Amino acid sequence: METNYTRAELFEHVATMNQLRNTVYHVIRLMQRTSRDMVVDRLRAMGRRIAETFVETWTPKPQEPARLLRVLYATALGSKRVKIDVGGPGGLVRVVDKKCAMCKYPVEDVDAAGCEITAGFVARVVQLMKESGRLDWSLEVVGVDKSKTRGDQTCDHLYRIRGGD
Amino acid sequence: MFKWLVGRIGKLIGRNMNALYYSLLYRELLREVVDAKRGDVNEAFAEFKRLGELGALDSAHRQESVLRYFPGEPLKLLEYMEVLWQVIFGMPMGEHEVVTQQFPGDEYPVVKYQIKRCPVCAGHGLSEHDVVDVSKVKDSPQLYACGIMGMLQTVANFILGIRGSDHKIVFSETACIARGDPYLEITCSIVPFERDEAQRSSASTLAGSLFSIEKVEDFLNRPMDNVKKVLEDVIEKNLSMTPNELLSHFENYEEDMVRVVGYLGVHLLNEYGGLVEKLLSNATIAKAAGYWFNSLKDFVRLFLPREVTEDYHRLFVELLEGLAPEGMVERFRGFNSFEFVTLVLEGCQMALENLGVDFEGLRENIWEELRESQADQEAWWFPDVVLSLLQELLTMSLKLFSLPVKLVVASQHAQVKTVAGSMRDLYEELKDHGDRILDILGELRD
Repeated sequence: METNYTRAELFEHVATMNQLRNTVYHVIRLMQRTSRDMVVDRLRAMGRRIAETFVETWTPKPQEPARLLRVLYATALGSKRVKIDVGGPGGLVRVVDKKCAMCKYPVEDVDAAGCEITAGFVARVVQLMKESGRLDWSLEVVGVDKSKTRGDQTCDHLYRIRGGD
Repeated sequence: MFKWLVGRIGKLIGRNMNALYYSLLYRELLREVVDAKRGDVNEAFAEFKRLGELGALDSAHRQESVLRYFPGEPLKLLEYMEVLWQVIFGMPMGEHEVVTQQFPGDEYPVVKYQIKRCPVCAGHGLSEHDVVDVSKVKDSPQLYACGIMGMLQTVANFILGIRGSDHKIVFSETACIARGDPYLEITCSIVPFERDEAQRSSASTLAGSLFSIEKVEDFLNRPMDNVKKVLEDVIEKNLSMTPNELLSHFENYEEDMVRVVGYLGVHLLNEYGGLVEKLLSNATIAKAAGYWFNSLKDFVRLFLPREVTEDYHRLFVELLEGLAPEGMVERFRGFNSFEFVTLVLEGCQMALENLGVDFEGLRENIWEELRESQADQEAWWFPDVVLSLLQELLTMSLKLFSLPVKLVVASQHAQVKTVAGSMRDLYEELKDHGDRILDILGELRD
């Protein structure tokens, strides 16, 4: 008899996000009722925990920030055509995702964007690579500047690079 | 074909992400709900199922134009469970077993899907963040895949709603790999459901514009099974007995049964406005039809290749398998294929007699008839010897003609057979190329 998938096997597959993405917003509504102003922090914490389990299976090859982020967004989140600007003041990085997996439609009664989870995930993967000595730079979340959830045309995730050259 | 197509299109139009990320995101959402319910796992599972339902409902409204093509009959819809699973997950259901249990007094059986590999809880318990503990959960209608149950349930019931069904399906998770069970078990119970007037009215408007694609697919996949099913339904509906009960009345009278096929065939033809009977009410036409029919009986062996009659004989036996008593099927299998055709023609002859053809009064052949009719006249048209010569010449030319006719019949039959046989191969080929095209479209879209 077949045993269940391992996480390594799951990594080789893609899953369709539509229903779960909608469910994310219903969970956020629940969080707004129970956790009030901590929702963004809790969403980023979710992303960090996802990252901590995800890296047990896969991490991108160490390389310069724009390339690494491109690979990470494409492989984990299925966003294959993100625009990445690493030339911002004070190491600011802007990732523009026109097809964010977590956001698609404006959601009026929700303040926090689902892609806060994405931001938490991406930054934590890089931090863990830095902690394991595979990178000499790290990333911290600045925030979700634009989001389709809030009615914008794109989701713009802001990070700040720490360390490196 | 439909199942494959919907699965692939769902994947193409859906937003895809890595399945590992998906399962970890699911874990985190469930964990949030458990936290919101202050650690009460049972309550959290029920709530997460509800949130999954709401999430799927948002999508279902957007995808109504696709979902309306699914079957509106609950059991039939459950045959499409793999597609629903794939639409929701984007991953195939994989190895699974379907177990049905019919309880006394219940209209529908309970259908259980035992799925060997569950993408939602894959690897659960191995990481420090896998904190939702399912191992101690007992007697709960929902377990780790509760959110997915909610999604599946909503999509299924949304389809039943737009198709006007007066039932709904309740999905419960009755075994969970994360809890240590050998598989994920989804138990589907079909229960009556009263829809409001607005839903019924919108469903009935929609139903008129629907074509039942599942029937087309069934027919393409199992043509003989469907012919049998139609036959079974007709017999059960009109005679209130099973085909086996009906056909067992003919056991040991198999030859008569084949004659009945021919007999009923002619009478059915006559049902359309009584045309056959009207034509045969004219004595000359009835006589001509009688001679024509006798010639047909004589020439059927000449014009029909043995392979063709054997194929039809085989098809008939195949149709009876499972419908008729086994002994009867065996006796039919023992028939010679031409004997089979002859019996059908005997049945046709009996029907033609009913409708006015006097076979008893006919001469040995039409030439004898001509001779007799000329004998009544004052002057002979042709000397008897000329008529005999014409008769032999025509018979010889017909026999000569039988070879190309046989070739044409055999080749047409072979073409139909080849096309039918090739359909399956073609379907597989098309599926492969379709897969590649949809992959390329997916890449282009990204």
